[in-house]
Amino acid sequence: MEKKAAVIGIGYTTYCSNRKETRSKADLAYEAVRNALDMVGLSIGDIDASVYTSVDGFEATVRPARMLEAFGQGLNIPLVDVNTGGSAGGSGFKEAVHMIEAGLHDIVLLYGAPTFNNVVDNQQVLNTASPPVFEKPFGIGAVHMGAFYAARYMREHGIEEYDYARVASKNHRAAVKNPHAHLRHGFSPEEVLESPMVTWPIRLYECCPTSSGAVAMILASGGRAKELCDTPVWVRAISSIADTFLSGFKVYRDFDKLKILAKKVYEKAGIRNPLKDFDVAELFNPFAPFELMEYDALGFCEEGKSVSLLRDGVTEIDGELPVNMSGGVVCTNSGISSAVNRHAEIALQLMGKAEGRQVKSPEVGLAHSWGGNMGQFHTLAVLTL
Amino acid sequence: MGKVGIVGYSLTTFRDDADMSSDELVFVAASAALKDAGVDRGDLDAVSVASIDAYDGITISNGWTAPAGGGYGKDATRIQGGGVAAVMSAYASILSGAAELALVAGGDSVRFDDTVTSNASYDVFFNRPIPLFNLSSYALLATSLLRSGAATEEDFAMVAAKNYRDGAGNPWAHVRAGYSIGDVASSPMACWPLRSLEIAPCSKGACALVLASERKARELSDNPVWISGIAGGSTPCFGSWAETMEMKGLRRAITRSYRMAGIGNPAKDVDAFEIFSPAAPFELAYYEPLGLCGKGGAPELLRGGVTSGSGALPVNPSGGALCTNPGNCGGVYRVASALNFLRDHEGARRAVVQDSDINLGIMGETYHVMVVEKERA
Amino acid sequence: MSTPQVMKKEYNMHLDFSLPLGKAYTKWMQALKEKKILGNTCGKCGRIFVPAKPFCEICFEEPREWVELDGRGIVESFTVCFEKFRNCPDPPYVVGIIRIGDAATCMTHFIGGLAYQRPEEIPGQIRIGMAVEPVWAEDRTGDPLDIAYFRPVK
Repeated sequence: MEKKAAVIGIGYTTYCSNRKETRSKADLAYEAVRNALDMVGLSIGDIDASVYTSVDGFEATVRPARMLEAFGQGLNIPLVDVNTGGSAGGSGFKEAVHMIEAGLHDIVLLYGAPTFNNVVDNQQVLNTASPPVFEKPFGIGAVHMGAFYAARYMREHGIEEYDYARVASKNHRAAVKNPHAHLRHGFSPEEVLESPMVTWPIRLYECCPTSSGAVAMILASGGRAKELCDTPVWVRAISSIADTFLSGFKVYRDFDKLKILAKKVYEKAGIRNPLKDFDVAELFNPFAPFELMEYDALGFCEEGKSVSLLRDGVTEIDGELPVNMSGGVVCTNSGISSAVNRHAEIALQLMGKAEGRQVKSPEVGLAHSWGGNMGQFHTLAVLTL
Repeated sequence: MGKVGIVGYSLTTFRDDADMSSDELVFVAASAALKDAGVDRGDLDAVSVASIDAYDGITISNGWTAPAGGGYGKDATRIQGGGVAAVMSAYASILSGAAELALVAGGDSVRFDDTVTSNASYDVFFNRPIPLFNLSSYALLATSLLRSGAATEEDFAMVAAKNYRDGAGNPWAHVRAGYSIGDVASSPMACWPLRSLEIAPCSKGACALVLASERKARELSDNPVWISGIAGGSTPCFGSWAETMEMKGLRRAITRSYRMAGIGNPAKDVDAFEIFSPAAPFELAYYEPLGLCGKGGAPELLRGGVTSGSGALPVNPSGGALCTNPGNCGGVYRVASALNFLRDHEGARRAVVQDSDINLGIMGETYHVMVVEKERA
Repeated sequence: MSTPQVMKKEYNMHLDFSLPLGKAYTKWMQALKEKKILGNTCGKCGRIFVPAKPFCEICFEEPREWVELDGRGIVESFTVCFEKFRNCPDPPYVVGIIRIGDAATCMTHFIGGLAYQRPEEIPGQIRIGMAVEPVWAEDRTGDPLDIAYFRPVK
């Protein structure tokens, strides 16, 4: 397996409620990029290209990156703008990897924007991503899209409400230990079950918040990565998959496209038994029930058997495959930053720098992101030491 | 480094209004491009859509157009900086080994007001409230050129008329009225010093390209067109006005793509240029960075007819953006126009395509330049 | 020491659009005015699409045959919304993923005509696979809301 592109630096800002945010988008961009550069001892002039990821419509600005100067534009460094909805962080990560593997650039900066930090009503904003004419008039925001999946999966496999609450609680408890998480209340399953039902079957504490904060990552080509970093995290495989725009062929009983994508990415990465071969995973769970559906699709267990992994503690910190030790998107959702965060978390875990939430000596990690109308897009990346 | 070829392409004619929805339009262009390449959707590994949400009227609009580009069940992405930036994504995909065959597509169907859209691209605190928008930002640049003596109002009208004359002969172009210098110079003043006929329209239509790895390109074509150079550069939004006028981002993209392609003397090494000039002054301002003349030499080059479609150094032989300006697929259209030129002119071998996102206005813009060349003339 | 005061700026983005629907979508919408639910069929794979599609994403061809369906469908998934969001209907409302007849695709629409005392009972009223039929609106303009909602078939 060729080792061509690696993550060498990560820069986080702190995350908070978007309502309490006092930093501007420019402040957040500078803070994240500065932290990433400092981690690896580079200056902005060392960057060859920058990749910005967000969803314009959610920022009420057309091409917001143009008005932010934190990505080296002052030194005329080219900016590439990737918008594939919620999966843009994964698509942008892929863009950076490809540019390096193609030999176009040696050092690339990737930024996950705080897409939602200025919104007043998030679900209203997310409704704008619903197909006009066909689906938008039905009052669907992201949480409703999530509910179609959670409802069908529950009915299909006899999942109990308590199990959805349990997986939410696992994330909430993990977030308490993550200094970069937004919600750190550590809700128990019982507290989750007591939270109001937002849209059946998703309860409030099973639902992501609207957070503000940003993340930047620095990727480098083989030679430079080894010079600049003691523990470069190599990208062994990365790809994405697209579904239909409307509901289309979906029946919401599983993430069938993710299953297909996993097969492709695992083959490229030489993964034969995901539960054994992966040491740590970050899966996109803006709605806690997704995590269970992702266990199935990613082959951690047989279809419909995800609850047994959860009940047996397999995906807890001391389990065979810790999942979402960051607290996941359900505890921190700063828009497209969330998709980049999944990759940042895996990189930090492999580098042994996941403060408070460190898994024991992980060598191979999996990062997933999801987005678009009714979950049209998935991205998947295998990262290794 | 390996090579990437363009093995097929297709465009629709461009018009005021589309009679198809965005997905239908992109489907038409994409299926025709696949046919042109002699492949089908099943052969594709990746799709790269060129668009922005605000030109499609939907948030995450690539959701609608990626399947239309053949992307259902495939690795699809969407790049928002213009068609050539989307080409670069497909190019990198192929050279990284992730894809052997990739399709780049864009389509414009939805009507919108591009001045309002461009205003929404400026920052909320300083520029949006003024309101700064694309035309007023173009006009600021035009004023600088006039007052520094770099060009005259007559030069603006002349370059516009040159574009219109060339567009009249281009069956794909939107505006084929062939306006004369007199027509341009007497058109209403839109945003001083720019007259309405010195500003690009909003065109509807679609365009798609099929890119292939070297191995695949040689299988599919006996005289492939290679992408021999591609690079980008950006300019800061809150830099000095001097920085905005100097366009270092453009210069960086040009220098690096020329170096990759081995272009030492553009006037000799390049047969045609398709560049993004959404208002007449830009074409003039770009001649020198493109290496076609020395500083201040643009008006002379223009007046000498050198850069007309039938001249020694054609710039925008398609008629340029003043004749055809689709917001989403403009860059892809410029690549297709360059390919048309190489196909239609015996002996022509190499063309330069320059693109950017300045349809949203200048300041904070990003440029991408690519070089295409036939293996044999 | 007091926390620093920062200014806030309220803003929004108001953009107007006009979208041509094209042949397939237009024909499908017009049929709704006449209380007809149509589908079009891919000549290659035989899949029926409701709503109609301008092209089959899988075979990448224009579906040329049209069929009329009786409008009955089944529920593939649903959600019951209990919270109020801006520009969304007042809760509780039910949105379903509905497969009309033999269509390969599903459409999104409201489910209504359910009997309940308390809103919490609503999820229990709806089964995956439940048969539903369209209830047409009085005023129809060639829009998915020409169907007011789908109700359970008695």
